[in-house]
Formats: sequence, C-alpha cells, structure tokens
Amino acid sequence: MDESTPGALAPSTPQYTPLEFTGDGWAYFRIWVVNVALSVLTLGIYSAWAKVRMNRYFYGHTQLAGASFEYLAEPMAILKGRIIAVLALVLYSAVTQSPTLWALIPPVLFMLALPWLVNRSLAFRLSNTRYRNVRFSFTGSYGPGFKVHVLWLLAAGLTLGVLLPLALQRQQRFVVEHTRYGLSEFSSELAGGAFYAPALQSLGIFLGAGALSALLPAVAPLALALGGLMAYAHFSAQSLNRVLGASQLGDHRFEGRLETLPWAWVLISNAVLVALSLGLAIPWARIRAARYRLSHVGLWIEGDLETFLAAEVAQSSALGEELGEAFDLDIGL
Amino acid sequence: MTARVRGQLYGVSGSRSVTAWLDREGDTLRWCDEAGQALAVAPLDACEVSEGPGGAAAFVTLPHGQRFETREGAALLALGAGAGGFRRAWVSRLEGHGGAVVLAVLVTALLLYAGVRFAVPAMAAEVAEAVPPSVAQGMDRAVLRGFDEGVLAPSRLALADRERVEALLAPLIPGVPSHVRPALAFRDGGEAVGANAFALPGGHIVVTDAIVELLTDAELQAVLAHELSHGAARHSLRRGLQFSGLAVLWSWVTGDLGALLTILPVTLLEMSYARDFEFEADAQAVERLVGIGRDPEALAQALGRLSPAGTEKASSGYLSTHPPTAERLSALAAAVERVRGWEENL
Repeated sequence: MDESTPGALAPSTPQYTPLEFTGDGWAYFRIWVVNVALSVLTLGIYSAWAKVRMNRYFYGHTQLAGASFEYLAEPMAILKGRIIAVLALVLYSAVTQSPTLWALIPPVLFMLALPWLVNRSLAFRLSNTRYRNVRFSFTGSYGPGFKVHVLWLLAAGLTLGVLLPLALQRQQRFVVEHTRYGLSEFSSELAGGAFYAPALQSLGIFLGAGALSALLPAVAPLALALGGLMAYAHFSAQSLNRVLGASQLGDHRFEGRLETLPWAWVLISNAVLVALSLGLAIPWARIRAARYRLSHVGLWIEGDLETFLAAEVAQSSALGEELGEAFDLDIGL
Repeated sequence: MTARVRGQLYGVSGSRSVTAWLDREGDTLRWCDEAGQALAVAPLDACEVSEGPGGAAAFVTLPHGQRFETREGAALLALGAGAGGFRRAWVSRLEGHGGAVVLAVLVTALLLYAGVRFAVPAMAAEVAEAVPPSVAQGMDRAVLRGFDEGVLAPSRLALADRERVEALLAPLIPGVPSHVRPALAFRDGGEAVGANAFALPGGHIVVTDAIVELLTDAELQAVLAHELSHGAARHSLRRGLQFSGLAVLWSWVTGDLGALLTILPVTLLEMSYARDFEFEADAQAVERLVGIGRDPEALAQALGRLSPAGTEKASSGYLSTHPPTAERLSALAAAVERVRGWEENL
C-alpha cells in the first residue's frame, strides 16, 4: 500500500492495480492432458466440456483487487454451437470448391454474417464472465457492426492497407464502447490515428528482417520468422496498450504496460518449446502467455469496486462464438 | 470438525462484498463476519458449488442469488462433503490422479500418432480419389494461372523440342488411371524456379525450359515418369487434403491456439508426408521405366545432375518437402534392385 493513502476527507488518489494470474504450468498440464484425452476418446464431443473446464481454470486464476473472474458457459450450449459450426464449415468448403458461380455465395453470405458473428461471439463470452457477482454483457448491434467489420475492412482493402490501422481502431472502439459491466458502460477515447505508429513500426521491423534475409540468404528463414514474430509482438502489445489506455469503466481507467521485447520473448520461446516438445509444452506456453499479458494489464481504481450494479442478463447462444472459432476469426482483445 | 472457509460474500444486486467465514452445522451452511455476526444462512442441499479446477477460485451460489467466492476450494469441498452436499466432479478426480494423467498422455500420444500416421493419409487418399477429373483439372488451371502471374513465363522452347518431350511422355501414359489426364505445360522458370518439373492435381506436368535443356532424353523421361507417378497417385491433391486434415486434428487436440503454434508443427508433419510421396514416386517411376524397357538408372543420373553432390544444406532433412538426394539415390538403387529381381523371376 502507498504510504500517502488519503484520509476520508481528502480527494482519493487512484491506485494502479494490475491483474494477477496465479495459474501454474504443472497444475494446468494435468487438467489439459486429461481433458484432451477425453476429447479425443469421445471423438470431440467432450471438447465442449473441456473448453469450459480450461476456461474456468484461467478465469478462476485471474484476479483483480482480490476477486476472481468466473466462466459461466454451459458445455451443452457450446456443443450445440460446435456441431452447427462444423456443419457450416463443411458446407462452406464444399460449395466454394464448386467451379460454378455458386462458389461465390458462401463468401458473400459470410461477409453479411460477419457482424452478427462478432457480436454474438462477444455477447456469449462477456455474458458468461462474472466478476464480483456482476456479469459483463455486449450491446453492439448489426448496423454499426457492419460498418466497422465489413465497410471499414473493405475500405482498408481498397486502399491497399493504408486505412487498415484506422479500420482496426474503429473495430476496437466499437467493441469497448458496447461492453458493459452490470449496468455500467465502458467508454473509449481511442483516437483515430492511435494504431498508425505501432503499425508503421511493425512494418519497419518486418522490412528490416526482410532486408537482413536478402543480405544473408543463409539466415533468411530464421530472420523472416523472428522478424514476423517481433513485428506481431510489437503491434499486439502496443495496440493493446493503446486500447486499454483509452478505456474507462466509470471513474476507473485501464492501463496496459506490455513491452515489445519481453512479450516477443514469451511468444518466440513458446513456439520453440511447443515445437520441440511435440505439443506437450502447450500448457506451459499458455500459462506463460497468460501470465505476461494479464499481469501487464491493470486498472487505476478510484476508491473501490464495491458500487457496481448488476443487470438482468439474457442468456445468449454459443453459435456465434463457435462459428467464429470454426472460421478462425480472432475476435476480441 | 472441519475448518472454516474464508472468502468473500457478494449480495444479489451488485458488486458489494464482505469478507466472510463459512461454517457448517449439520445440514446448514452459515456465513459469519469477522466478529462472528451471522451474514447468511442456507441449507446445504440448496446451495450450488462450482469448484475451481486446479486450485482456481471456487464459488457457492446461495438460494437467493448471493454468492460466496473462495480460494480455499479443497477446504470448501471437505466442509460440504456428505449426503446432499458438495460433490467433487469425476473429471477433477482424474486430474488429481497421477496414474490417470500418465494414461491420458499415453492415450493422446497413441491416438495422435495413429491419426497422423494412418487416418489422415488414408482419408486424404479416399477423398482425392473421389474428386472428379473436371474439378481437379479446374484446379490445375487455377494453379497455372497463379504461377503465370508470378514466377513462370511462357516457354521459349522450339516446337521441335516440345514435340520431342511429348514423345518421351507418351509411352509412359498407358497404365495411368483413366481419371488422371496427363498433359505437359511448358514454362520458362527463369532464375527463381530453375531446372524443375512438377505435377499438378489434375495431371498436368509443368516442365521448365531449363530442365529440358539440362537433361538428356533418357534422364528427362525418367523425371517425367516420376512426375507422372505423382499425378497418377494424385499426390498434390492428397497433400492439400492432408494439410487440412492435420490442421483440423491439431487444432482439435490442442484447442484454440495462436495461428503460429498451429502452422509450425502442421507444416513440419506435412513435409514428412511430402517426403514419403517423393520416395513413392521414385519407386513407381522405376517400375514405369522398366515396364517400357528403359534403364531406371537414368532417374538417379537426373537427380545427381539436378542437385550435384555437396550443394544441399546439411540440415535440410526435416525442413524440406524433398528428402536429401543421397537418401533418395540409395532408396532408388534399392527400388531398381527390387524391380530387376522381379524381372529375373518372371
């Protein structure tokens, strides 16, 4: 505790409180391997229960100011979503393989469904997250979602990526501004140009690696792989910092303190560990990544977190999230 | 007498909490504050517990929606144990059992191995076999279009040279399954592609100008026999299917994981499949060559000429779609021996 903790009458000074992650590699390994084995033995059916269990492990080991998060999703809801998602994926690939114009229908449908998918996915995840007996929720609707997830992305494509950082900024702002904790809304002041500096720096890192591999062809694959990972680590760390730094819940400000090099080290060493261990090190890789990411994210708590009010939360289906995963969408922060 | 369990007790309507100690009297659970003042009381069988896997926070939901959160999950389960009380999930028992964990590792490894070694290749072969020729040829056109916009340029070979190569291919075609339509596609690969030949899914064989100029007729025919074997067995179609199969298997076993962690092992495994296909195509090429009365040694000579000794990187083993030339040469020699053995026995 800070020694200058103010008295009752003095204006309170906010306290920076990072998330705390207490997960441990061995404990998670046991859970992971037992649940993976059960999933494989049941030809994937158990994977819905496995997902809930592993998420409960991560949520229940994540604390903010002494209270833990709780993952509430029902395995049956996930299983139903998963079955439909797999059928949709099979149908999608079968029809897109056809040499006729029919092949164009699924991508167009997918594009139209994308905003719905993202919204439902976020709604499912957030409404199944509880903290201090108050649930989160997501209130984004189709129209604004279509604007940020389809129109802005098309604009980014048409300008050969020049508008991509702006499109990403619009998406992140949309997500934050439609997230609620109980009755309280999140707000975002993320500026339009917030992602340009990290994007250009990452591009620079990647081009540097490209130049190095052109000069020294012997190390080209290594330089490109490391350069790509570094560029990714830089952008993901810095953009997360910016999103969080611009986000607020009530009077409480968020702050991200991720740094490029340590985060890149976690990602690179994880990739090597997983490859060398033929996948056995996946639990440790996940724990290390979660520990770094979570412990470098925090909240400037103004007073305390005792005054949030709960809201009635409608139960949402898992279909959006499972479809999003089947089609490999990377949704959320 | 079991120990009291410490945690936070939350009200129904919001995030307000008090530190509470949970105790049990018969079939009743009782929460008290630090001073021993009662905060809440509920019958044990009306409370729902959500145990925290692996030491994660555990939660008790009270009948009216109040919630108790504790880090002392093991003590909570011990306190609520008994008829009508809290029960530990069976999966949690498995996770806590050393033998079950070891068994889970073995079962997963065994099933994964079986999947990678047998199921994925067998299913890919099955599906590849079912792809209609028109679809496979459509893929050829798409691939060629892609190449033509990128690394490949129109061939500069004279018509006579092309006809010479066509004539080398023609005697090899009988015996190729009818749904594969072999056809040559001449292209100039420039520096980037060099002297090379490759088979596409529908039966097209791309031949670069450089390889036609580099190899003798006998060697070129041996290379065509090799590529034709790839096409006849639909190797490139199967490679694509195997890659998807592996990606599905891997992401299914590992759960959602960053794209990089998925692509790396899947790519390594796919390369090992590709190397198997090279050996298979070499062996079949030998049979085809012997079948039309040609000397199969020409394939070894062609390989030697396409990658002269010492030009390969020593480490290329696991990171290549093609086995090291020396390994291919010795496998080839064995295949030649074998086929000659059959010939003599006939």
